[in-house]
Amino acid sequence: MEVHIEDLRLAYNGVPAIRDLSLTIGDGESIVLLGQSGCGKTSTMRCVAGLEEPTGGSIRIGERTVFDAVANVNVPSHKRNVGMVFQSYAVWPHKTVLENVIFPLRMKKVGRRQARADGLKTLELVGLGHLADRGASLLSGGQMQRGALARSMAMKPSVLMLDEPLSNLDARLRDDLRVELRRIQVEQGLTSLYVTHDQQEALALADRIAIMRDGIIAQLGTPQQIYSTPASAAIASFLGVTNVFPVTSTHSANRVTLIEHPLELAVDEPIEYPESSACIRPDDIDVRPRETRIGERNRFAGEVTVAVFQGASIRYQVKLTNGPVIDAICPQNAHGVLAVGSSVDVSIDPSSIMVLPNEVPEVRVSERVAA
Amino acid sequence: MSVTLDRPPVNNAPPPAPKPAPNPTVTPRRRMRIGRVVVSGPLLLLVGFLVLVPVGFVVLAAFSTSVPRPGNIDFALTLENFRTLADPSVMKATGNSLLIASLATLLALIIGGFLAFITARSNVPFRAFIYAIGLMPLFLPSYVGALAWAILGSPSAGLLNVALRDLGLDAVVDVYSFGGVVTVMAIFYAPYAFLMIHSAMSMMNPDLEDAAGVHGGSMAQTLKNVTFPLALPAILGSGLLIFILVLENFPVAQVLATPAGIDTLPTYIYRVMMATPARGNDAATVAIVLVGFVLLLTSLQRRYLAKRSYTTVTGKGMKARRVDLGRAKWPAVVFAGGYFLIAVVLPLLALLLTAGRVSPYMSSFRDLAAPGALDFSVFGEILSSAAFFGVAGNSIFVSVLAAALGTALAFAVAYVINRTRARGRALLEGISMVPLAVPHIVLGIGLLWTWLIMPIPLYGTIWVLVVAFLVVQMPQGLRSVSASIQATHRDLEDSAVMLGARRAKAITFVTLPLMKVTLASSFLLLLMLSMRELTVPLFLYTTDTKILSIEIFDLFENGGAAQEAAAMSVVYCVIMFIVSYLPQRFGNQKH
Ligand SMILES: Nc1ncnc2c1ncn2[C@@H]1O[C@H](COP(=O)(O)OP(=O)(O)OP(=O)(O)O)[C@@H](O)[C@H]1O
Ligand SMILES: [Mg+2]
Repeated sequence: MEVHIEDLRLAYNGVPAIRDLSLTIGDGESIVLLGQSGCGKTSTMRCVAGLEEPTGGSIRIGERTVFDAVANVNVPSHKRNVGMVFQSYAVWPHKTVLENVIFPLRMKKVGRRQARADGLKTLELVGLGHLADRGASLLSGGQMQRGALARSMAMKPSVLMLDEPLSNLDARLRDDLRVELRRIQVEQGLTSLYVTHDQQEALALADRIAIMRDGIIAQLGTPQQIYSTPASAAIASFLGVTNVFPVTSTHSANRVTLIEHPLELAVDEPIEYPESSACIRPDDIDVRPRETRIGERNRFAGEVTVAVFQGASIRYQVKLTNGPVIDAICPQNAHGVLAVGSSVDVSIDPSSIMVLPNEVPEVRVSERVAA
Repeated sequence: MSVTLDRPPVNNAPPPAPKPAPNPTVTPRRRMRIGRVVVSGPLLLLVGFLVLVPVGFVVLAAFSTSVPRPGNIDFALTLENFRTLADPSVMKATGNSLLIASLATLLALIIGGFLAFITARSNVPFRAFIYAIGLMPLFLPSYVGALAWAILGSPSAGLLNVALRDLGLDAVVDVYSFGGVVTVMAIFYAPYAFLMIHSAMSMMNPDLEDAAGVHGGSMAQTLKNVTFPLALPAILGSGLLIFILVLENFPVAQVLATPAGIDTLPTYIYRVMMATPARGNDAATVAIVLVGFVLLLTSLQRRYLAKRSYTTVTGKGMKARRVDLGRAKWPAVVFAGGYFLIAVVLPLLALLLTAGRVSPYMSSFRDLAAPGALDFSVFGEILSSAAFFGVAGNSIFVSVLAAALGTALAFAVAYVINRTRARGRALLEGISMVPLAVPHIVLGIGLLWTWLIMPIPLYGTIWVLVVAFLVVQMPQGLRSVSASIQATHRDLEDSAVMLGARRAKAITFVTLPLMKVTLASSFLLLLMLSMRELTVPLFLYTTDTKILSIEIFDLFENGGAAQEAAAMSVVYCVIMFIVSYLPQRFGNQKH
């Protein structure tokens, strides 16, 4: 069902955790909330689930308003039909797996026999059918996560929320379950809100990604959009763009100068905001042995300070002459691995340089309001 | 409450199996084997002697034709004694004991559980104060509480009945009754239920309850399906503990049940022991039955608790849900206040009033208005009398020595158990824990026979009490010291050894200083237990070696000196409060 969050605000003891958050999750859509620790992801979910009482705004699930500060509507948690997989799973250790799963059905007054049949079916779906009668405290981490998922799915929730459900698992299991989660989500057409601070997870699971910063949504878009055009330098750096240099404009619209170094960069787009940075993906930087050919745009001399062999690629850190240390990932090619200390040329295609505001303008505005 | 604190309310599971010590230096096999006996041998002998001999004598007496006497230990075995079990009065006592224990446990669980729930999980007003109310009766030894309630609720002259008459009501409160015993026991054991259930409820991961809310469970359904089931181990655990404590409690039953002609197993044992001629063999036989019950229950408790390890504790931002009591708020406060009144306020007031009342008879509270009816000079008299100082001095001497020696012995045993690979470690631990399963009334008899027979002339001196307390409190001492040894990282000590210190030096230089605070709190715990112990010294004291608990009990039992007895009880409560308050302060410093 469609979920409509408008101007949501939440404060803990007067300290704001969510500020003016608006978000619409389409029917059957999967939105991933991505953001740093403490930015308010869990709080947002808890508001939708009815476990926290927001200080302002409204939440609508389908046609039903479940919270509205002005109209003084606050539907209690157990009447919202919202599923939630907790970060700690919260699988009840004193019950069997099946008892956990049929709980929401029993709460909906589904008959014992029918509930059992439905519960087993849901357990099969997540691959736990054979463990139905096992005590829930005896499950492994991955099994518990599936149990928690099954429990939420059994209630046929209007919206399913998952709070970093994979963060307690080891890397391999995480990869497997990520794929499986996406499969179930698509097959069942679940409307879902998924929280993570792992960008790989976000890219894999989302129809759209909502990047959260400091209690608001800083950018909303498809994974491709977010990846190719981050809205700010902060978002870019969160998404793994490691070269971020504050810049100011020069006499020419096509050139910017680094604030911290006497170095100019040729760019394609001009600076739009007073506080901006040049952001360059390490993969977009080319490193090769020093040549004599000159004149190409954005070609700088430097010296390799770190070289890490990564299999298919090599990661370098290069100290530019009179410039910053720059991070580059180069494919294995004819140059082989350039030794630490060797003199190199670094070249950057102007079209791959993103000139972005340091922060999304709204974030800055609201910070000023808060201050 | 002489026998009340003998099992600390938490941690009923056996201490975790000690990890084998990595040996820092490579020792030749043979030397190691000798070393392994050298450390544990003497301790095994000492602990075995102190604990097993008294218990053994009781067992022997149950199966032989006469009781152990100096120069005459009878090995003529017989099963004849067990006929006494068919005696209707023994059956009756057994039935009474079980019934009283069941009802008192139920009541204590209701009181303690309710207070725990409202303080841990509701928005009841005055939460901190109600929490304190839940714990406060712990400071009052149960027999002082029983004596105070005897003053309050005796059917003829009880203060409550006087008050009722003054108010023109003709209801009569009678604590010398089945209900009286049950109520007083429940009141004074409720704090155990409170402590255990409170900690279970406040440590619960709130996500577990939130999950029920999200998945369609209302507040009531969440409580029923998640909160209470998760607290069940604590509820059952404290229930079994209280059942055992009530079952073996002697003083309360002696004060309140005996006058009403109701026998319990402990009072029955006491009666046949004190009869002339003493029927030691019968007492021992009934004692075996009592031990049997306790053993059965203890093993049930262990089995049950071992099976269920609900990991409900997490480190993540804990914020327990609080139930909005709504209009039930004030009835809850009234309930807590009522408990406070009958468990603490009324008993203390009764003692104070009795201490200050000049005439022992009072037909109405109006009598108190007469000039000179109240006179609290008795406190001055007591605090300046040589007799009181003799008795108090004995108490303090015995308790301090027993606590100090007990802590030292516990350290030695705990060290061997936790930090060495000595042979017989498990045996050592097992024997040290035996007193836990033996009711104090039984231990008292065993210790009496032991020290009457031993060629070491301890009986009749104050030292026999020191030794007795050492035995009685061995399990508590060992548990508390073991826990703090386990919390002290062994590498700290081992590194001193690797830097060239001998093991003994490393212990005194590293381990002991690190454990200073926790050892001090173990010492204070043992001190408090010794100060309140009544049942065991009852068999061992002589007129020269009276201690405070005995003196108070005697004064009340023999009647006549109620004023002194009450005043002394008040002084005693003050001392107890100080002694029990200190360990809490020390305990808190650890965190
Ligand atoms: N119960 C609470 N009481 C007070 N402050 C809280 C509470 N819960 C969260 N906060 C604060 O609100 C802010 C947002 O917290 P939230 O748990 O939503 O962050 P999050 O994005 O989920 O972080 P993480 O990725 O670490 O889980 C944080 O600054 C946090 O300290
Ligand atoms: Mg979170």
